[in-house]
Amino acid sequence: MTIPGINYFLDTIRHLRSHEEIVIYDRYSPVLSEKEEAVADFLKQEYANESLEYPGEAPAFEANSAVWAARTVYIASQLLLYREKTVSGMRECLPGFAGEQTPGTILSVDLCLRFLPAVIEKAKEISPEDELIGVLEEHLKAWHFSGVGYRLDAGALGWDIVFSDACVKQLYIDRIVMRKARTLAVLPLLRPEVMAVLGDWTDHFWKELPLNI
Amino acid sequence: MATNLSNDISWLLEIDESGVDFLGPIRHWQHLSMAAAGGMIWVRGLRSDDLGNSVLRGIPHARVLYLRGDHLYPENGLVPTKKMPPGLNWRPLSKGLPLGFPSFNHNYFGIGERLAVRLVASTVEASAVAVLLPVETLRSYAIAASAVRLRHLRWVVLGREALVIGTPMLPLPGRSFWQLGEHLLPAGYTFEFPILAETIGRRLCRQAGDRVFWSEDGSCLVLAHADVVPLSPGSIRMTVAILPAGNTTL
Repeated sequence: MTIPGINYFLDTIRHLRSHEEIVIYDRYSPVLSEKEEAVADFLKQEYANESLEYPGEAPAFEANSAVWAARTVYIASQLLLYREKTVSGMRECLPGFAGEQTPGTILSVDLCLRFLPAVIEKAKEISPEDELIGVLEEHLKAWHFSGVGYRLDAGALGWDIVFSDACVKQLYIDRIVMRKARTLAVLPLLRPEVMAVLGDWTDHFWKELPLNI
Repeated sequence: MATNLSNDISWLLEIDESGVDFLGPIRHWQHLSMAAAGGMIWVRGLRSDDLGNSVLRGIPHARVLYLRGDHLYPENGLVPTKKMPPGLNWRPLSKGLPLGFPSFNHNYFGIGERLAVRLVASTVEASAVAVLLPVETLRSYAIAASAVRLRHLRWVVLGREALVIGTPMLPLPGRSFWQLGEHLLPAGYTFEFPILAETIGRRLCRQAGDRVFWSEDGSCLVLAHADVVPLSPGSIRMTVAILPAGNTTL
């Protein structure tokens, strides 16, 4: 039962963005489309704040994709506890993003989707054979900027869109270095970029990254 | 009956007037007296058992003589070397050697004195930890730079220039500074009295984490820890947006 005046979706996402945690209850509260507008406004503001820290020119905010990511994380974390749906129902609850992937959508989605690896880890703790894990990993594979550091099959990832924008590319490389995602750093495509960022200071910033692989 | 001259001898100590201070160790021998004439000082009243005393023998540049009649003979000599001048004014050693204060007081600390802090050129090698460069140079690099290179740095705006503190330093040209305690000193300079660095820092800094930024001319600026913020593209963008154009004052 959802009380009309209260926007659980917005409150949850706001709490997630400010405290990096989600409080879940043993009750499924679906996302109502009329509540999404407030979330889009909130995420737009968050994106504006965050893009101050982005290197170079940040691409424009994409509201649809940001809300899709917020909805995905919101529902996925509820499904950790609430299980009255079958596997097929679970997939319906967590559809892929319908639109096209662009540099702007990658960063907009990341506002919330960066918390998805944590949700997956939690799901794995509860049950390693959970169907939910597979569903979420598929999303993470498509939006692998949010999943840097999470163990994904690096061969199956696409880089064209990431490399098409200097800002996204820089953020991607930074994230590889900060999270010390070695499986990504040793890819022939990314390795020169990582080394360019580290410069002469490989020993200082990332001592474990060997020089000759 | 004639006097047996061999019994009538008395021992003397002779020393140049310039060496009068060497007589200090025997000043308290009460049976001695001294007289001066012609740039020489004689001490008389020595007993024969005093002659073997190591304190007496330890007096440098002193010669032991004996007086027979009016003539002075070297200690082991038979031929007189000079005559004793007549009419000498014999005084006790304690009178002849007055006490005085030494010219340098080792217990003087000069608490009331003040000292100007100066920087001097130094040849001691030290690695730089901070760089002062124009804000515009920093902005054009940092807003496009990798966060990896920025997140360990802190910065503060000083007039038209930006001071970036931290290592590894950015690959940008500027005047570099090295660190001595809480002091940021221009490269190639150090305090005239480096031992005072800690005291100066304690007097200038209000709380832990404050830094003192020094110029070559010896002027300094205390940088509060809260004013030196982490360097990031966002910090640069927001700072540059509020910087007044043509700001030149420190």
